Amino acid sequence: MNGDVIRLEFPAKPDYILAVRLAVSAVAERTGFSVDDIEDIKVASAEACILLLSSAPERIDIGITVDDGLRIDVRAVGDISGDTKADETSELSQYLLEALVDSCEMKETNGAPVGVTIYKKK
Amino acid sequence: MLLDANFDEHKDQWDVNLYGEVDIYNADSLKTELHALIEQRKADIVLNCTNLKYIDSTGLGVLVSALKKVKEAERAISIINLKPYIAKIFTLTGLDRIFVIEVSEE
Repeated sequence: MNGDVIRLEFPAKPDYILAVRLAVSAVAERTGFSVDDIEDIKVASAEACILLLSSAPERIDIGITVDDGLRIDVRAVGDISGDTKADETSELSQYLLEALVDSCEMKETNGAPVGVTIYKKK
Repeated sequence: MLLDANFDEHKDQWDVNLYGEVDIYNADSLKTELHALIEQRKADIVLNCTNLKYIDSTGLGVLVSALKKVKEAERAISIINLKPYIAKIFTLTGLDRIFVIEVSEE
């Protein structure tokens, strides 16, 4: 499966975050991650989406690249409000993202989160 | 159903069971229900998480806001029977220091 890329597009609505969790968990399971690591990847991917929803985009695009681990690239697509407020929940999301994966990179535009790339090694 | 609640007169506390997955989709409903309980009766809350399968940052935010309300009346929230992988979420976010937490053995 090395080199495989899985792309998902979701309307930026809380309704679809469950579907993100299920899809990402399924890919992590098939690529041989442990049960604990699958849980970490699931939580981190959902938190990345939650962070980006605070920028009120139109769509969330997710690209999952399989190599010796999983690289998950989450992007906010569409007009970004730029007036997000960093609330308590965003802080919790960031703690979880930084703690659960091997690397985590966040991109902002005018203070609004627009992209999160996470990497988890096997 | 996200929760059911009973008031234990003898112990003067709310016994609350949480169910399923608490996430950004349903966290607001949980907030409404928990705050309604606290309004109805200001007492300690024991959250039984035997049937809680997942909680995200928005769900944690709801628990923190409930704790703030409960603390105004000098009461506490205990979280019991957390599955180890959910307990990890509380530890990583430092919330294990503000709630009384008991992890289930698996």
